[in-house]
Amino acid sequence: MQRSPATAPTIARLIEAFHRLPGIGPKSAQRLAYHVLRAPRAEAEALSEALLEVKDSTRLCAACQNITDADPCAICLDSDRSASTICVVEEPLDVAAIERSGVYRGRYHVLHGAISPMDGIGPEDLKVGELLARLGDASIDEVILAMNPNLEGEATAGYLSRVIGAMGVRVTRIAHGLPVGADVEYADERTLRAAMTHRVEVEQPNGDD
Amino acid sequence: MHLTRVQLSNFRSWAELSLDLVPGVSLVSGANAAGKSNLVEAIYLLAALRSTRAQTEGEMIRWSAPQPQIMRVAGTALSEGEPTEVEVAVAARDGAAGGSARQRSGAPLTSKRIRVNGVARRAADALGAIRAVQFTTLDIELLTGSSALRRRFLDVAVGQLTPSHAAALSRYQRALTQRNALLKRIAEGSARESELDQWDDLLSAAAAPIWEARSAAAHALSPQVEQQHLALRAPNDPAETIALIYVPANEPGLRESRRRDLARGSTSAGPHRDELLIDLDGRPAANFASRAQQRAAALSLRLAEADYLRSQAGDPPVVLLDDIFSELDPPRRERTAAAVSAMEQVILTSADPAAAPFARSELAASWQIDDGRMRAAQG
Repeated sequence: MQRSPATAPTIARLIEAFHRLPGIGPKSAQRLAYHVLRAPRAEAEALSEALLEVKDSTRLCAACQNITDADPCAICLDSDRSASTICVVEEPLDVAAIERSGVYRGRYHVLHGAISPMDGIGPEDLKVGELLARLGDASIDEVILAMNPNLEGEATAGYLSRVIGAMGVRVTRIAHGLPVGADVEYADERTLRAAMTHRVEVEQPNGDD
Repeated sequence: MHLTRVQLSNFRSWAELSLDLVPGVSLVSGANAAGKSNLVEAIYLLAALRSTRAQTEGEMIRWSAPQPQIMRVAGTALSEGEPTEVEVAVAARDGAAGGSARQRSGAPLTSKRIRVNGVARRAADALGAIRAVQFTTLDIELLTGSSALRRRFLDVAVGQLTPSHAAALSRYQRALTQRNALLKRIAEGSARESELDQWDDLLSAAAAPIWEARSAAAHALSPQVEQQHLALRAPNDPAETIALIYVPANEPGLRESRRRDLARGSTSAGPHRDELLIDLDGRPAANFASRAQQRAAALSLRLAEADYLRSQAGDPPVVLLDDIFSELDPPRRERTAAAVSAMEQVILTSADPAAAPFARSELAASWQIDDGRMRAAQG
């Protein structure tokens, strides 16, 4: 990013720091920096404390590898949740998304990425070893793969289903197809093809219940 | 189908141009470097949605365009009475300082936006909205150039009819890049061979629709090329046969070629290695044909492409001829003219109007480019 002589070096440094964040363009970085500049000192302190705290006091849950303040994390500790099912996801944000849906009451495992040889990421760069170690425990009877439905997600799911299948544990994959509330008419061809391939039997209404 | 209107804004040499077009044959004449090829490139962009000439999309933006630098090409086509409007805009992405960020090549970093009937579309979903075939003097490279050009010839024809082909190609390309990266990592000892399994599956699955589509296109194009080639031949020429042979690189399968791939560090089988062989009288045209024979064969390929698009889409494509007549002998000019006249709309450029094998009375419109302006040619 180019520095203008009209910007003081300390402000330029803050702008650059914001610009490095994902999704923040040069204009937004500028706006954020000037906002911090004009805000009361307390607000700036709160921000810098929050930044440092997230670095200092969070760690990975030893079991599920999700980011947590306390190890083991709240989900792994929750005895109301089934310990026999593990849902494997790529990122911590995916856990948050599935939790919001409220439909899943088992445990998770966060891989922290997907297999992508061109980015130098193989299974050993992900939390795969930790997952396999958890499966050594005989109480796990299903692993649900919830990778993203893109090439790298599919490669990761393919790899895991081979390795976990060989251990004799049941492996399932979340369905892919039309998003709920979408129109068939506007769906792209690949989504429709996936939806067709993974179609399910319609349960016959019974009438007598 | 035919175009009724084309508008250019900051496209290469053109600052602004708005052109009303009619069905039939239209001639655009003008001196070299007057902007004729740029006009044809712009019109073809409405069909292919990417430039056939530019290395980077920024090249298409007029160098001296005012900030913010945006080029825009829009066109309206009528197909069986139904209008379709396609707009392609490329903007030079603005750097923080307000200047255009530039890549090492000097061309600006760009973003492209495509609209069909005013609705934003991805290129893969907008292909085929307007269909066109472009004839240029570079077509001879279809015979003399690398096999990548012949694969592209098939892919462009297929893509205009089956928009999902573009998405299939990009998915395959990404899977291929990943598999090749993994082969290198295995060679370096930083990955295990067993990790290839899922990439082999993904690559095979991605390859299947490409082979299917290319094979169907080659199968349909082949008789049309033969027919066009015979029709172009001079009456006293010996009949020269042309054959189009599609050879998908699917032997041996991915798993069987794994040993070889591991040794060479890249994927040896797959659609990226397909070949489209072009034989003249049973011998490879690239090695055994004369320049004139190759030129004639290239012409046959393009005419067949136009026929193919017409028969598959049920509606003729727009035909663009960019200064191809000057290098053909007069009899061949006549026969080419006869072949393309059957199409609904033909737009041809020529530096030498006398080389264009159409009488004034056969032309639906005629323009002359002078000093960057388009004028109706005087009668």
